[in-house]
Amino acid sequence: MVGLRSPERVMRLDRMGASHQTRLSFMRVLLRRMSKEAWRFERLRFDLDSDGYGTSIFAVHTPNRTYSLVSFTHALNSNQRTDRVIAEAWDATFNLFDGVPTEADLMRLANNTPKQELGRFSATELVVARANKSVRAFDHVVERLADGRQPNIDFLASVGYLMRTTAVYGSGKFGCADRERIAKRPETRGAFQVEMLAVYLIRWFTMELVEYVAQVRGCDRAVRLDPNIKQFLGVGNATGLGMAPFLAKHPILMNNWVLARETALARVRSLELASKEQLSELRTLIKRVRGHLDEWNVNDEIQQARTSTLRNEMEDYEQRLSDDGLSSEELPWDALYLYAEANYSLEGQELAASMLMEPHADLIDDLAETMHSDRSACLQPSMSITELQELIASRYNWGLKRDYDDPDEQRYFWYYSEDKLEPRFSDRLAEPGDEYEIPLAFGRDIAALDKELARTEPLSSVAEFLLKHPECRHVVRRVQTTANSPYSEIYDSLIDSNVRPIDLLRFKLAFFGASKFDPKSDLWTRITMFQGAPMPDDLGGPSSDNWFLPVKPEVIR
Amino acid sequence: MTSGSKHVSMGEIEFIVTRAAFGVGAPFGIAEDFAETIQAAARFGIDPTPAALACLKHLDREPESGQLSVAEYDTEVILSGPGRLSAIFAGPTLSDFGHLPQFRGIKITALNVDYPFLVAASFVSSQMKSCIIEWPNIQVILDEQRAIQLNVTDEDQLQTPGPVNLSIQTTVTDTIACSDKLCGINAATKEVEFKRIAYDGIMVDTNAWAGLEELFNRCLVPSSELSLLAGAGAGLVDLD
Repeated sequence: MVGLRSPERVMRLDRMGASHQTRLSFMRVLLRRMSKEAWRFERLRFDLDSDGYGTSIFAVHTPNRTYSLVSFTHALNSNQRTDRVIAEAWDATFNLFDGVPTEADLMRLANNTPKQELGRFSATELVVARANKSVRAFDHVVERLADGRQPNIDFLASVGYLMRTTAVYGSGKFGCADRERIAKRPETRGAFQVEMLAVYLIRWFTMELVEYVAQVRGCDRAVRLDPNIKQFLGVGNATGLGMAPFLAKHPILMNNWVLARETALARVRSLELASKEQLSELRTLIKRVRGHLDEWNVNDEIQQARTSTLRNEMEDYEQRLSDDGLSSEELPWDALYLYAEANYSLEGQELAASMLMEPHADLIDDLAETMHSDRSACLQPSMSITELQELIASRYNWGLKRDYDDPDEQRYFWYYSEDKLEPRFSDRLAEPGDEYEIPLAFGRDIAALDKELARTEPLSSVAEFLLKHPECRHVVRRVQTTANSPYSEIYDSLIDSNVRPIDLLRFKLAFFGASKFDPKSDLWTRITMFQGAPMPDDLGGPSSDNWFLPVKPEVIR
Repeated sequence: MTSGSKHVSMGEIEFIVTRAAFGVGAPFGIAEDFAETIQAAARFGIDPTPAALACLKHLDREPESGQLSVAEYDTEVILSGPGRLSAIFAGPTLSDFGHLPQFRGIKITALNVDYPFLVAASFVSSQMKSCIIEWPNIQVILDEQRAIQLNVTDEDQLQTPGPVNLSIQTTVTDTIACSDKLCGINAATKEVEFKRIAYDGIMVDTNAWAGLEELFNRCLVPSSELSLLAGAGAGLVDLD
């Protein structure tokens, strides 16, 4: 059996920042369940005016219960349209409702959902979200459909979506249901499944909305959007710094995500045979992946250069995959992985790893059931100081070896701003407030803990130590909680002068199943979600799980 | 002024209370424990926010109430401070010591605790079992299966502030004898209610919650022009 890749190799920011979606990504997991269980979709309400403003309810019936996307669409001045947390108005605001809302629920939500963070919600609301149109894409589609024509697919491919979510909140935010309410339900116990469901329904709603507005405008001339274009279009998302505190706060959850992915890769690499069917599937897939990479163009120079390298690497990989001798190689999948590891950039290595998992549904899809965690952090007061020191020495060398007296090692700090609690990231020397930094500097804090431990009686207990050093409590708990979770820590500093927060965002978004990463700075990115995913009417068909890195469709204009 | 009530989720309690405690000077790990304590108290079906706010304000006024020292004797361990002990520090510290094998069966006493109910809730949140927590007229028993038995002469007394001396007796026996002088409220009978709270959140006092938010706000960093423009990375207006 080929072993797992080591945490020291995997949990580095540069590699995390080169992550790609896999078949274990949360969007893929959700759609597989939808197809397998034949979820039924129903448009319960669509009360819009001629501009598309109003209230809608789109429901999905699972085997056990119904969930409803409640949508409010609004007129929005262009100068109010921003991806930032500090926005105060949006084109559309949403809730994912547990069940079907009554009229009283709708009235309550109509008074709260458009206010987002300033609204109050109840435990029947599982998600609060908002989105803005890509005005140029949305208007183009409306104009073309109203005129009886299909939109320009090249233009649409350059954007990727018609609506972009700018926040999708769950887990108790603003009074919404806590995770505990849904954690035992089979369809929602997986990581971020209610949030992914909300976004999937927003995508469906957006398609209905654009067709409706075009129909109102074009009357008899108007046509529906080509189903292939619908399937190709995803829903956008703008993501900022809020993801980093989440990852830091949920180390066991992060461990379980990575452990599942690494286990999947190790299982594939350990196979002694590669069937003709599997190799054929992979060869077909890489052609599509290369097409996808050609369509992945962004303004960010760093990402564009990386994508350019990736295109060359995947051209080479296609050659490698065409080798007829592959099926007779010993451990052929391992050989394919090792080839990528030896020859490609981190982006290339991670993309190769993702691709190699694709033809192995039966081998790895069960791992999706392990990618959640409801385990909370736990302190062990009776542990001896010696044991704690050994734990630190075995896992935190990356943090201990740094010189925190060097200002560059602590250049930045993360914090919540008084502006709508927007998470921000600033130079410690340029901005005040670092005494309230979000505790993400685990390397630094554990190094400080280690120094204090060295001055403590080795056989004394953690309880006695914490009586004298309560300031170390959060890191002691972290060291103890993560002791048996190898992928629970990032083996790099999150505050040094070289850190690129975008790497963390990319890592998490890849687990969601995002594609077309479009960094707008080191601190935020736009992405596309569900691009290529079947629409509700097409679920259960042969392409239900075959939408890894899609390409734009051929469209008859 | 009469105060109304407001629905909050357990997640909000965690987020707001952790930072409120940090805002009054508690170290982050202690603040995290305090938030879990308040969540545990909420699961009793009791609104713990007035006590939480009062306890935080006390620590804010008297930071020395977080300075704890321990004296060990043959049959007793005594936790004390220069004045009243803050439950924010006393709760986690007592529960830490209650977990130590060498203190099993030994009485641990904390002197002059400001909010004894919050210390008891801290024991619940730390998954303590097989122990009795007592202060005048009140006894909280956590059995081997972590079921909670609450014995009080008057339920309203539960949240009465101190200072009081509070003792913890950890025991190795599975069966815990309850004092028959006190009326028993067996928390097991409230299991359905606990689950409902976990699923639906809790109603809290509006003024107390506003007070917690005020303390929470201390942890927010003022916005400068530089941080507004560059601190979050995204532009202020999107032309897309």
